[in-house]
Amino acid sequence: MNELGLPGEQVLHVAAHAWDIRGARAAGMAGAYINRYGIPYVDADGSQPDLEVPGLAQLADQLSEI
Amino acid sequence: MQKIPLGPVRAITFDMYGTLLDRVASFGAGFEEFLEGRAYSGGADDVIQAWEATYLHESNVDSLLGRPRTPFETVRRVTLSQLFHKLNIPHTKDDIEQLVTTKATPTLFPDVKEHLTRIQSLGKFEMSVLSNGDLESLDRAVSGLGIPVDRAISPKGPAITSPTPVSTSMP
Repeated sequence: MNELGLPGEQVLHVAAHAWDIRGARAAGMAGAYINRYGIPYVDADGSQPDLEVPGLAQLADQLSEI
Repeated sequence: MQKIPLGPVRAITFDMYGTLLDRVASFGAGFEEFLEGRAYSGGADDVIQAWEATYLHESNVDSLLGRPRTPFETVRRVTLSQLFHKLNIPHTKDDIEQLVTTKATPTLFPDVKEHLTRIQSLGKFEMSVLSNGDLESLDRAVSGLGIPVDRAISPKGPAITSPTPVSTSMP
């Protein structure tokens, strides 16, 4: 975020692993979970990613609507 | 933790390994060929997944010790040898070298180029690949594979690995 010069809420981190999303969200960033294999997103505190999609096509669709 | 609205998003960071780069497609053929000649009953996919976990563990040790990040190219060779020892898979140094070089074909997931290009064409977002690996290896992979992003980013300083929040907040 420092390198991007933006506050966390203006950065979306995209990853296929829950641990990456959890780290990004803990830093104040939004997190998009790419769930290609139908693996449930698991976070011990019960929180969910800000966006969950089965692939990058659906991510692009969602971002087109912002 | 409440969900964060996506409306204000101006930049997107993509994880590299396992998100854009398909490890199984990249290493599967080489591993299958290698394992055929060994008395190992598991599949190549399982070994590659276990290798990823071993790599993450080793990277976390760097992070916990606060020492500089071990170059990705070194970690992946060391962790593959560690894993083969754990699984009692006979191997030589040359086997490891071939599996990570000549027998590997770095391969993106099929949806990467088309849909990152779509996102880029929206003209709304600065796009980066963000990874815990060293920047030199990451830069080389991103440019070599032609991933349509503006740049590669890796946390600077002592090894910091995800999910530590500073790995994303302090590149």
